[in-house]
Amino acid sequence: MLKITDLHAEVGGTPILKGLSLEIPSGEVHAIMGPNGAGKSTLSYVLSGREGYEVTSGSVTLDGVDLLALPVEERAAAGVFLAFQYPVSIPGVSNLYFMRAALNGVRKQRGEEELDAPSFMRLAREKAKLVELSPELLKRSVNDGFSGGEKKRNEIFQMALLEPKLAILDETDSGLDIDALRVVSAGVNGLRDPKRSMLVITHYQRLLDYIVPDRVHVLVDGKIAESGGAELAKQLERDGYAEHRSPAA
Amino acid sequence: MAEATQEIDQVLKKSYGAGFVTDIEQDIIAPGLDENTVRFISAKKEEPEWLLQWRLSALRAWQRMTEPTWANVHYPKIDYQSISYFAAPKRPEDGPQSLDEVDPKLLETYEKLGIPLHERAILAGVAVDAVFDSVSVHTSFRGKLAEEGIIFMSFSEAVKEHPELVRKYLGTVVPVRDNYFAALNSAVFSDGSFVYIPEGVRCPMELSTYFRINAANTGQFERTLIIADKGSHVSYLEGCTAPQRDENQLHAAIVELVAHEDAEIKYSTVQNWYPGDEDGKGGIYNFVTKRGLCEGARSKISWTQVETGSAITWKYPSCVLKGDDSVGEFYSVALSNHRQQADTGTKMIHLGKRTRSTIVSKGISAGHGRQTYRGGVTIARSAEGARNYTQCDSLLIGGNCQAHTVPYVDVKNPTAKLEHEATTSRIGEDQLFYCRQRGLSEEDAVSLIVNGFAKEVLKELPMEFAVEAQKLLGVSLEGAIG
Amino acid sequence: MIEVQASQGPEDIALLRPQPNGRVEHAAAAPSLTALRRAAERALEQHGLPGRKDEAWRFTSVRGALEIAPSAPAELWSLERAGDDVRAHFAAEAFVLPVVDGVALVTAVDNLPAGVQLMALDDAHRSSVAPDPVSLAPERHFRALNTARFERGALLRIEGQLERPVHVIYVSTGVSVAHAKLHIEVVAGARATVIEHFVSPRKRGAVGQGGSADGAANVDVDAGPSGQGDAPPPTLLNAVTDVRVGPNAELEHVRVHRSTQLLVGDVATELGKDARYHSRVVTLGGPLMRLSLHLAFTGKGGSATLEGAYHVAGRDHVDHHTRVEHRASHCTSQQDYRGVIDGHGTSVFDGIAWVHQNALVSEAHQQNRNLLLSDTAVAHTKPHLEIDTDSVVASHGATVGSIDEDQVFYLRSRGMRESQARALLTFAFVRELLQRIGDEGTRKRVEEAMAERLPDGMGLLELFGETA
Repeated sequence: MLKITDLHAEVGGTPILKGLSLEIPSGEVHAIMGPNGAGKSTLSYVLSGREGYEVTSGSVTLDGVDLLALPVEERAAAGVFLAFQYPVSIPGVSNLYFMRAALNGVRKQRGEEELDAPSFMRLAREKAKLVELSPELLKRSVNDGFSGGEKKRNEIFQMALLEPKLAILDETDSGLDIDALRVVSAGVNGLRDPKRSMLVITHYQRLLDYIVPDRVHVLVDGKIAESGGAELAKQLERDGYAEHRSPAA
Repeated sequence: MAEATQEIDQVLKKSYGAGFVTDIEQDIIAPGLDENTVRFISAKKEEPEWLLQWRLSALRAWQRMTEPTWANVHYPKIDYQSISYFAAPKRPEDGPQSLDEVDPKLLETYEKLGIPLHERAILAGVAVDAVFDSVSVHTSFRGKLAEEGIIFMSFSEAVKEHPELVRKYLGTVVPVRDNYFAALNSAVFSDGSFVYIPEGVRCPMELSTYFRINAANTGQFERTLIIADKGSHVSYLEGCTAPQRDENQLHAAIVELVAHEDAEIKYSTVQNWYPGDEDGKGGIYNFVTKRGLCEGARSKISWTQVETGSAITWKYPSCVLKGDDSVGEFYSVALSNHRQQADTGTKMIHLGKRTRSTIVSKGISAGHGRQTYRGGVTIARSAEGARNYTQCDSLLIGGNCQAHTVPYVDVKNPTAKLEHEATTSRIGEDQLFYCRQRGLSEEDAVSLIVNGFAKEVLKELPMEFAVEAQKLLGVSLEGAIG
Repeated sequence: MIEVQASQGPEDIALLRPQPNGRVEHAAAAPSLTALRRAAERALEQHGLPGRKDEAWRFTSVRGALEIAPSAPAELWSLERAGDDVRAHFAAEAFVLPVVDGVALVTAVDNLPAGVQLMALDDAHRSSVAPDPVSLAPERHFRALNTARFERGALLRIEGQLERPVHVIYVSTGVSVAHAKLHIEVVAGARATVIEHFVSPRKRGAVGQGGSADGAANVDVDAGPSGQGDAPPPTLLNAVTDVRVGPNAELEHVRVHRSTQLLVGDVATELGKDARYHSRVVTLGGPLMRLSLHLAFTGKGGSATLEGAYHVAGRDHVDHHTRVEHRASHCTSQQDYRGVIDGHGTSVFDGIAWVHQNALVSEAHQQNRNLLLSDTAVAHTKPHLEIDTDSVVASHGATVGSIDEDQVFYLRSRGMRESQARALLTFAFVRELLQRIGDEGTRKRVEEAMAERLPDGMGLLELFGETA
């Protein structure tokens, strides 16, 4: 279970998160919605530990582990997975090689046995089916020359392989057409698990038609302004964020 | 023969008069370089008169030349008179007696690179009795090559056993006056390898794979000559991924390649001489002249290099594409970390019709490393339909390193087609973050990204070398970040 | 071949001899200018003039220039006459500064709008607006010679937003050696276009000692280098232009080289914070045309484009050197040089993009493309990058090749004659750069001149006219 308590964070001296509290019990999917500039992406970077995102106060724990004390890769090992809004390409490094290095890196940190090549291949093929990722893409360089949809499917494929405790999906629907959205969402739904918390960050309600959340939170000016069930998303779609806008914004 | 002996006697007397150590039984001569030094070396190696004269002409040329200063490398002035130009291989009792006496840092590196245990001892200079299996391997290997008519032996042996071949080709690709360091090498070269592949023979194995350790001690003024006769094929490997220490700070090697009609030579190098410490203290100065002549039609010479060692690297493996339809290739990865400086690249000289060349250079600088790609492509008027494609990319790690790209393109034929592309970029913060978010450590992430960057070149290496080179890039970058 | 060594003494080089009856010595110069001249003389004594051993002059021999001894200067009235004459080639309302035999005729321009100051350098040195010399590199070689010997330079200072361009036109009455010096200062927030024209000198003898009255009327602004009658003895113009673009100011700086003179040009440009600079060079041949363009960003946020289009034919020798220095953060530079080389022509391109260690978030790009049209044409290209920081995106590219035969075939299959097809493809190759010249008159003139130089090039403009 993810527990965020009174989180304050700033970027380059500018406060972005201003006392955010949130709990996502294991097995639940929560959505965070909010207008541009509310701090949605900042939240995903703060949770995953990106440099330049300064936590000034508050705490974040995942199953009791203090995430804020850990560097990026150790958070990954502790079970944090961020599906990037803009997945990064790494020329010359094959997707398979990358994921094997990543998975074994995580397993090593957890004190588990590293996977040998054949077992990894079996696992990778199985997971790739989940998001209809072609074997051809597995062999290509990480995200290099991938279409928008291929990149997002690749993110979910990676998530399936790493089996995180906390999956953060940052604007996963951006740049996806309806077919790709369906495939990606099916992949995500397939990964719902009693032991996994998911945080879906999105600007639009559209994605939530496919990935139906247990709870919806509205993030405005660095704080949760309102929380509710899945129906809250629909209401926001209809009425917009206007009534949530802080006078300062 | 009698004449030669007399000559040697005279030399010995002369040098005695000049105050040199003259005892022919001794294995070292006093520092300094003049005619007596050259005569001593030649006599010591029992060389024929023509070779002595050849060395002397090189010495005279060298004495009139000045050290080049155009390269983007900076080092204290070398005092050529304070160097000793002949030293027989070290006796075993001079080195450490067991691995326990070797610098643990070095052993750690061997471990990371996965160097086999028995090789580690040799590399670290530990006295090993009964030089393990390599002697027998060596012998059986040579027998197999001899069956095919392939000559593969040390340069000194070749001078004795195949003087006609050595004399015919020596200095034809890199003339004694070619440049300052080439002239120096020609005057005082110690030893090296000689390879001759007869007409139509495809060399059945990668040459020197089995010898990389034996070659470790001939580093300073090495000289290699490889001749591929018509329609033959050979792949030659030089160097070793393990860091090699050498007492001699100055290295000036020469490699000459000759490819006749339809012949192909593939020359791969992994250079990892001692780069000096993190503050740039010590380290090898590596001034190398490597050139291949595509003499015959449809011949091909391909250079692949992974340069991670040495404090100073000054090296431009080149191809003279004389035969029509001949092909030259240059694939390079050069890495400068800490205070290392590398000025390296290639020269493709197109003379024949429809000659083609490809240059792929990947430079990586980290720490205070300084990296220069310097490459020339010359299309002569005669080179109808010549083609060149050049790509050189630089990767920067940290704000204190440098990457310079200096291509020279000279074209005198309108049917030629040249393309040059270059990029310089740094390891992206977002790339690093992405990798770390997936659970890779920062060092693994850097190593992964760098290997991806260098992949195009690494894939040109023979398989086993490629795997070692990959690890080497990672190890060489340790401490570059954070 | 005679190699000219940098160490060669002045007595060996005709060019370094003093000018007979020269006016420089007699001028009552401002003290600060005199100091500069003395320093330049010392630099000349120390470094002399470049030879082939100098890396920057490896492919360009200046031997021909060194053999020219300075001749006596023309009478002042004939300079003025020549000045009036070239002004007649422009519309009456255009701002035209004639520089005749290197002498800037600042008093000839009387229609300058408010916000533009034009004065003799000497006067400027005596006044409060004395130009800060743009010193990007030590003064040496031809630049030092220029400072030591130039007769009367000009300071052009722009304070407002100039709608119309300022034309500077360099002409010669036939004097053998001329040194011209121009300072362009665009102050903070100002905007301007300056166009420097280098045209062929009139035939020597047209202005004799006595000077025939109609002699001055022969200056032809549009005469290109080729197709001249009797070759006059070679003359040299050594022109230095220093440019300073202030914070948030913008300058479009066009240079059109179409002269039969030996031409050695040197431009040094400093850009302040957020300054924008567009250099557009057009070179149409020349027996020796050497341009060194040195630019430095000294404040954050500057941007510069350096473009060059050249056509080289006959025995032309054209040499463009560029050097862009990123000394400050957040600056962007783009270099794009493209040329066509025909006949026995030789083109040299040597470009440097140098990003200093403290120049964070820099972007530097460089391109040189060459089209070789004959068996005897030669191209040397050396675009290079010196990157001393990792906070950078940099790239460069160079190509040398000939016209794509598939394209020729395609055009012919659509009914075009082969020669026409080739001219079209050649013209299209450089036209893109010419098109960026803002001043319409100059753009048209340059396009025409370029087209005229191409075999079967006439009619090209119409062809493009339809699509443009």
